[in-house]
Amino acid sequence: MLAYLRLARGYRALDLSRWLLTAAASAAVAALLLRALGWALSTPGGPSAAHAWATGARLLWCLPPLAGVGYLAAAWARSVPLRRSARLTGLLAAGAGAVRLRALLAVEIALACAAGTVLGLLGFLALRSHLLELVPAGRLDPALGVRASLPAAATATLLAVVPLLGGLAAAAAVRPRDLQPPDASDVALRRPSPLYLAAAVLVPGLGAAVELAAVRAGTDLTALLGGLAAITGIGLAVPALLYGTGMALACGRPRPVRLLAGRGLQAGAWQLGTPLAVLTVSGALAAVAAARLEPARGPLPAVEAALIALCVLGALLARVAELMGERRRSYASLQRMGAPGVLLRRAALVRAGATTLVLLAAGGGAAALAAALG
Amino acid sequence: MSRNRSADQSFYRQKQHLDREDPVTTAPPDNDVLWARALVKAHQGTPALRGVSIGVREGEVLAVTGPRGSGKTSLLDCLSGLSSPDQGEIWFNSSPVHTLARAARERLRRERFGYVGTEPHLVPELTAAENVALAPLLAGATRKEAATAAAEWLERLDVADCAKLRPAELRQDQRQRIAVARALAHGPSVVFADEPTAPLHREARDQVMRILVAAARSHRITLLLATHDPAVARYADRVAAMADGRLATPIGARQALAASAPQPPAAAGATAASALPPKPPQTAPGPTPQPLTPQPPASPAQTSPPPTPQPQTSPPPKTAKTPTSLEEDPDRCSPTSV
Repeated sequence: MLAYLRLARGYRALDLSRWLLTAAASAAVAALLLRALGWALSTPGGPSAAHAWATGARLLWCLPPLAGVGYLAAAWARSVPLRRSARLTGLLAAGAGAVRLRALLAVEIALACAAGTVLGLLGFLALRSHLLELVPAGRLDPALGVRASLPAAATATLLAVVPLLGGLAAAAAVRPRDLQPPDASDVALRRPSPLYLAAAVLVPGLGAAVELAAVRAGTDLTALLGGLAAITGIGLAVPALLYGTGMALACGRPRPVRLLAGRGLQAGAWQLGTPLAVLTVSGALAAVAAARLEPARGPLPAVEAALIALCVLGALLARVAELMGERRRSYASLQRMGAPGVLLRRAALVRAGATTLVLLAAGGGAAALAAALG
Repeated sequence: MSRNRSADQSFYRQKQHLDREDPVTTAPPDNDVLWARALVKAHQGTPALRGVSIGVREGEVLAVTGPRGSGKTSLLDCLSGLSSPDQGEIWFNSSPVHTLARAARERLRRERFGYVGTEPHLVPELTAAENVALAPLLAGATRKEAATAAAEWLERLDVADCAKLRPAELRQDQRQRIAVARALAHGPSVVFADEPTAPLHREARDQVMRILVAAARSHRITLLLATHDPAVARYADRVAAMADGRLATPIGARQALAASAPQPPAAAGATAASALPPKPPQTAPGPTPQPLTPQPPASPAQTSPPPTPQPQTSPPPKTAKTPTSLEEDPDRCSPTSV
């Protein structure tokens, strides 16, 4: 297994940046987990119900960033076979089966997570031993649990969660068909099913109607539920919006630029739409949470929001890189035919512009709904 | 027939820089549309071409035969302007190709050349009609002309009912036919076909080759064919054997066939027939059932062409006037007459 990891030496800037991103996010999550442990250690007196609840609440606050790291790991792992198809073909030819390839990807991610976790632990220990003073006069002491000694088993268990989650997410995200040597012409265009279209129209529409009616009537819980449904529905509708935009671009008798841009948008609607939907929904939910929760929580929510934003943007970056690799393969025949590079670049530009418009529309709608809630 | 096709096609810009005579260098023979001299090409140190010279006559079907790795693809890539040779000259219509910049070579490829590869390599997100229409669009046709040409070529290649489908929904032979249509739809001067029948079964192979060659004849398209299959080389006027990056002088197809069929024909036919039981005829509208193996001449010394029991199963005729299944009315289905 370690011999396989030597392959990482061939990685280029994008792969290395994703490695670093995963490690940094893991370090931040590890710091949050250790903070919960520190609070639990530093509370005086024996275990009590209130104490357990407070510790549990702090651990629960670690869940959103953990989910972010898992999502990033999954996106990262999925993009590797598509971006590095030559390497994958070589590994398959060398006799590595699907299980071993998945294990390889999972171990790679888990190592990045573990490296980040160790970094977080080192920072925590440095703060605990006052080698490093972030905030003067020991104001961090309760969070660091300086009065009690750090239990090794609890720390190890807590910190093992991050690489374990990253590795499992990576292994689960890689589908067996991604590990086949790719043949672009066999990938069928995914069309939106009528059920999905109905859901993409009805859920945000009904949710928004319920939310606005409830806000007018003053029933807060109904408004919140309706708003959450509407925001989720907007996320659900993002791939359909991309698909529809692509279809509109390619309708009639388009010139090559518009044709390639529109059809490309249609073909990548789900691949690109999913991370965009996650970005929209998580942004809107963060806005709702910021407006609803009392502001006196310290810098923690801001740190968490930044961490999640980092993970979501990293996943989006991985997906864009994956799509670019796919596009390069499918446009190889066009270059063979003598299509000028400027045409392909222009098509990519039109596609990016249309995607931005869709993102702005969806994000604007979600933001309006979130603002109505707050 | 003079080459004035591009003059009467509204969508072809005049390529004067390519048709201009160069006063300094000796002009190639008039009937050579494409010729190369002493081409040398290496891929990262591995020699692919070691001094290849070739002259392709206008309107002919020239097959380059040879085993895998003999340099056929490298030769086609150099001649079509996809890659530059390390040494040597390439001339197209009396103007140099080897000195052209990348943009000019791209323009040459999209306007004057067509290409069919081993794999169809269609753009997966475009429909069949859009894939075909892309070639005339890139060559400068209007949208209407491109759509008409695409529809007509799909019709000629018996895949008109697939026009709205995407490559993933099609069979491999249908995809290859669409690739052939794409190579022909913009009315190129030269079509390069690099093992075009490699992914196909025999029936589809014969049909695709017949259509390709018949289209080349009827539109005065020069067809340069790379193949290792003697049954495909049979469709050529001349055959040039290639080995280890060197090319032999092209010889007539009949001599090449005689040279490449040393074993008795009866035994060869029996082996093939026992290895492959006859299949039911294809249900596509165009073709009649094909013989499983091409019938080589009875003896190498025989001077008659390969026996052709039916016109439709024969290799295409050597002149454009003989009728084939494809061109009962060339004017009606010629997409370049729009």
